[in-house]
Amino acid sequence: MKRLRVVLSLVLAFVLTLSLLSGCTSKTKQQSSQPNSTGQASKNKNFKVGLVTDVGGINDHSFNQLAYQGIEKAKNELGVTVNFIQSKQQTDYVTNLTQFAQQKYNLVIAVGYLMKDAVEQVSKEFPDTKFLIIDSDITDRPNVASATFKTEQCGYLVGVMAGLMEKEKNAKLNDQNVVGVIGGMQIPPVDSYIAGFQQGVKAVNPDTKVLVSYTGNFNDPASGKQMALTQISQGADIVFGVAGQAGDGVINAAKEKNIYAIGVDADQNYMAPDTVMTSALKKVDTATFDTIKSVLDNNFKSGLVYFDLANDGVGYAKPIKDVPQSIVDKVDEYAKQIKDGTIKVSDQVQK
Amino acid sequence: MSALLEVNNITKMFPKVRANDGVNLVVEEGEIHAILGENGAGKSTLMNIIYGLYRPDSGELKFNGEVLNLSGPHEAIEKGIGMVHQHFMLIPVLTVAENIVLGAEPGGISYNKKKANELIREISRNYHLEIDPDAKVKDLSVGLQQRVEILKAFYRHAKLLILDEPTAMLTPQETEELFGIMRNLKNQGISIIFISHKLDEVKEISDKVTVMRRGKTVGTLNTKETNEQELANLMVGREVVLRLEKSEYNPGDVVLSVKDLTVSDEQNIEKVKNVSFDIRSGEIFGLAGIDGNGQTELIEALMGLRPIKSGVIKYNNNNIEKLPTRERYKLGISYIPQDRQQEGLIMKFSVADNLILKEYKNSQYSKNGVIQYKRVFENASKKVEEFDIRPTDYNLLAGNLSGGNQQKIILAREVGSNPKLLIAVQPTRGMDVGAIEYIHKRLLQLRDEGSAILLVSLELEEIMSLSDRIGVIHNGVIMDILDGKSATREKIGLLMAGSQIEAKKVEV
Amino acid sequence: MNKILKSIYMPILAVIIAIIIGSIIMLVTGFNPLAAYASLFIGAFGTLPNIANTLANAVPLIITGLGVAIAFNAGLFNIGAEGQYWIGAIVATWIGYSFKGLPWYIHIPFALIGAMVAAGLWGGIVPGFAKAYTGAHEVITTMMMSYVAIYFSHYLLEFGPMMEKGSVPQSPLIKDSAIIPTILRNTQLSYGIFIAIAAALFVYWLMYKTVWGYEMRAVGFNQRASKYAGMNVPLNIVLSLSLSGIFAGLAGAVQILGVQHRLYDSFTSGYGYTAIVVALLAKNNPIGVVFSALLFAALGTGSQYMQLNAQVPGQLADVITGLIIFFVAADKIIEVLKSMFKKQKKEELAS
Repeated sequence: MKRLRVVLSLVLAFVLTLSLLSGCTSKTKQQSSQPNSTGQASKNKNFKVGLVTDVGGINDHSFNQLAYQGIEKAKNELGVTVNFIQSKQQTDYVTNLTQFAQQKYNLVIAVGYLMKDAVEQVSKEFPDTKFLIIDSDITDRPNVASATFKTEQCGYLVGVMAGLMEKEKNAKLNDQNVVGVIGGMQIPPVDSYIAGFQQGVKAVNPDTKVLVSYTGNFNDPASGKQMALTQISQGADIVFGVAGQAGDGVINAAKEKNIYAIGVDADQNYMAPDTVMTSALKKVDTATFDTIKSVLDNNFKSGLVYFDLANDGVGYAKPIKDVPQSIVDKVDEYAKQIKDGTIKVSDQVQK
Repeated sequence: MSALLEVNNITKMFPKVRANDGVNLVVEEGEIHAILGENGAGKSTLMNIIYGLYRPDSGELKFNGEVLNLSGPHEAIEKGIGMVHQHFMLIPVLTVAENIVLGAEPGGISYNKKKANELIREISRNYHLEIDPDAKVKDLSVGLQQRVEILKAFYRHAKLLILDEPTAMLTPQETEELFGIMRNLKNQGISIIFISHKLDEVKEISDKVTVMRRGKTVGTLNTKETNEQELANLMVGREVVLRLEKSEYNPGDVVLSVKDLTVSDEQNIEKVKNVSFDIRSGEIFGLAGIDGNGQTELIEALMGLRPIKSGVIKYNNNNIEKLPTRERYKLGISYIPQDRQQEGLIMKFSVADNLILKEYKNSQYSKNGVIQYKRVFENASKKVEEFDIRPTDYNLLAGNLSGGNQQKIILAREVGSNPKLLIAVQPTRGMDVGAIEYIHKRLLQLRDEGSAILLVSLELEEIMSLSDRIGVIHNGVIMDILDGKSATREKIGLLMAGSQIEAKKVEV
Repeated sequence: MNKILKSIYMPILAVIIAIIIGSIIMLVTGFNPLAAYASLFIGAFGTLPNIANTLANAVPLIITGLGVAIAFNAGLFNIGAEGQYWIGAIVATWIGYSFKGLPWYIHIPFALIGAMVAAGLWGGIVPGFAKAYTGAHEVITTMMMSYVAIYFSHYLLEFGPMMEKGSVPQSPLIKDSAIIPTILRNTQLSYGIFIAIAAALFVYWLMYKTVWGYEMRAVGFNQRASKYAGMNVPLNIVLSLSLSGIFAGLAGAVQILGVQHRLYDSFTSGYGYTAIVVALLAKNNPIGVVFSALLFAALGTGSQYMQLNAQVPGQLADVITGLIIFFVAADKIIEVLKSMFKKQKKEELAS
């Protein structure tokens, strides 16, 4: 027993020594991660932005990740100090938001509608701290902005692109004139994409059949794949997945069956470069960056803040080469009409 | 004759225990040398030293005149020492031949089955150990498995064979066969060390006896020149009463009455068939029989642990066959089950908790569902003292006590509650002489106090020395009920084997 | 006293070894273990609010851990505490928002008892009777019942009868009269902590001082001997699984009434699974459960703080937690290591 104790204490001493040594190195590393000190940047260094992810974490290929990209961009371009906490469970939200507010962060960003209760609670306790919540609808707090995305608009644009592609001929397209869309759960943030997509397709190609189905979850790629394969067997040659990680399965199925897929939220082309022809973008990164800038410029607006085509809050990703320039031009034309109000896109799914 | 094995002044220490303390032993060529001692006397430690499993802290081993310095069993085997452990070291799915040659296969890398079988046949012929080399070990009886273990030793050219409690798992018939084999081997010049704590066996088979007590050898005797009483006294270290004096048989009213009882097992095969018997207060009714002839099913039915098919069980003139087990206990029935570790005790409960295993719900020990630990501990310290349970700390887990003391916990619980009827199944199984003496004394005391006792035992000796009347069960049927005084070993033996006619002849 | 020391000695050793290995991992990956552990500790116990949050996180773990420990004590492996937690949470939420105008001293007990009864039936009736009378293994049945409970909650919340009006899959907030008040402002610590501690004391008393606990433990250790002693083994199996469920359900209810105030749609709370480890670490001792739950809660809150202030990713805290679990579960390994040291020493002495 004595011997064991000796060994343990030796190991402990060894670890302590090493950690003292590494203490020096890691300090320098932290400094190097600070932004390049331009004049303006050093001024903004005392401006602190905290990001609290929901349980998805910053590698979710979706809005948490985009929000993170937004604050990174702000760090690099505006020189503000940023930090983030990944929540592990729902009860962490209040704690994590409070943590930032207590440490006098100027702006605290909460990602996702699940944090609504937590933001309402914490923002009341810390009236001097500004909060931004993504995808929610808090309107009665002077220090809270709720970012809402008009995703029916970008859904419309990728719908237009899909409808036009159905008239094209290439190896990946059949002549059955069918496209499909796979939703996660039947909730408004998903349905707005689907509604826009349906209208976009019909606008350019009224004969195209649009299949709609739901996986019932956001986290099971296998179910997304199964749904996609079913639609493909019914003739779909372009599939649009609006289903979080379940959507990964949709792209997978398209790749396997050699047809086209459309990504969602972020540019998902990297997942299958020849398959994902474009993505409907919900630019959470833009929203976070813009909000940071607005607070910095004393221009913060509380309540609902809409992000749409007009302020570049939604959009579509640069299409791959298979999509002819003529179609891209056409899509841009529709974009312009949405921006100037000529076309109004509904967010209600047609049954 | 010359000494084959000499053990000189061997000492082996374990933490807190001197397992062997200056042990001396001489085994000569061609002799059967019994090592006798109670559990924990150091017999197994000594054997493990001879077999190379332990190294002695001091002392010397000589084999064939050569000083041995064994680093492991493989060296002992090489020198010609073989050992058959109490629990066999066989691989059930392999054949007899494969088990025997395992680790020393003939014919180099590829196993030469034909040659192996030939070798084994030859050995079994030489030593009169008939066996089929191609049989799977799992299909063999315990006696035959033991034979395989012995063959294993001779395949490796053993000159000295150590048998560690070889009769513990055998039926009486198998024991007789084993003794035959041992005599044969002895005639061929093989030396055998025979470890046992059963006096009668030692007396029957050995040439010399070395008695061990508390890690020491207390003496070596010529078997012919000693008797069981002397051996028992040496073993225990005091005067032991081997045959307890029974007081006058003075039966009272019928306590338990069984009529036409039929019981089936899980496969719906009838294991107890139309059994009837009565037990009176102040009497010990012995149930003799070979294991597996329906005793287990009968007892479980009496205790309400197994449903009955038909028949009547009356206790003090009331039908109890429909009562659940606990209700039967409440009526004053006690039960010492056969397997103390699996059925009688909860090994991870303390001694004190085990002592109330059947009475924890009684008002004596609990009030409104809360156990009154003060009373539980009072009861424990009283019982620990009265029944000499050691160590005396009743907070110890039952599993940490020796087998004998575990049995004493059960005894304290079942006998200490002054039952009107005690059902005791093999109450002395695996106990050593001192403990057996104690348990027998307790049973007789209970009888004299007017309890009825049903004693089930596989040991004929035990049944005959304690019982006032003896029922013999064979194949689920009570063959006959004999008077305890006049019953002979021979007659009971024949009834146990199922031969009523032969038994009648003996009577005439 | 000595006995207590002995029983906590192995778990503590496991924690120390896990910390040392965690240090080595941090050194290799370029983090400063001293700084990390310091912030882990500060995050868990450094300030009053942090202590409060640690205690708050411990509450559901303590109560669910008690439930699992009861089953373990009876020799049963209730792997479905998660589902029973959900049932408790669902029922408490429903009672919490459906009944208006009740005084708190009726509303809170009503919700707690309702949740306990429902979860007790959930855990006891199906898996209990299946185990007791058909021998169906409780690991399978409780786990399957767990899935049923979780998917049932999805049904209720995703456009089901318990969904709040609007687009978010969550229940309405419970009424104020059902809320267990917070002890410390800006923390999640509610008076639920007292329920948890009372529950631990109660379970200790129940298991070690009552006839019922005596029977359950007896059946847990040795069914055969219990049957021979005249106990009703099947009944005890049903009762102990029910009791196990009752506590898991209580945990869900306390969490809803004290912290969440409504039911969210999510796949798992995680408490039911962590509780298994909590109970194992505590060697199923109800008082030990309090301390092992505190350890896990401290790791949870501390690791969030560690992310924020030592820039150590939260996953590393998970690694340390995992190591602790490993060494606790494998305390046999430690025993073997110990005996190896001992043996070596003895041989040195011998030669």
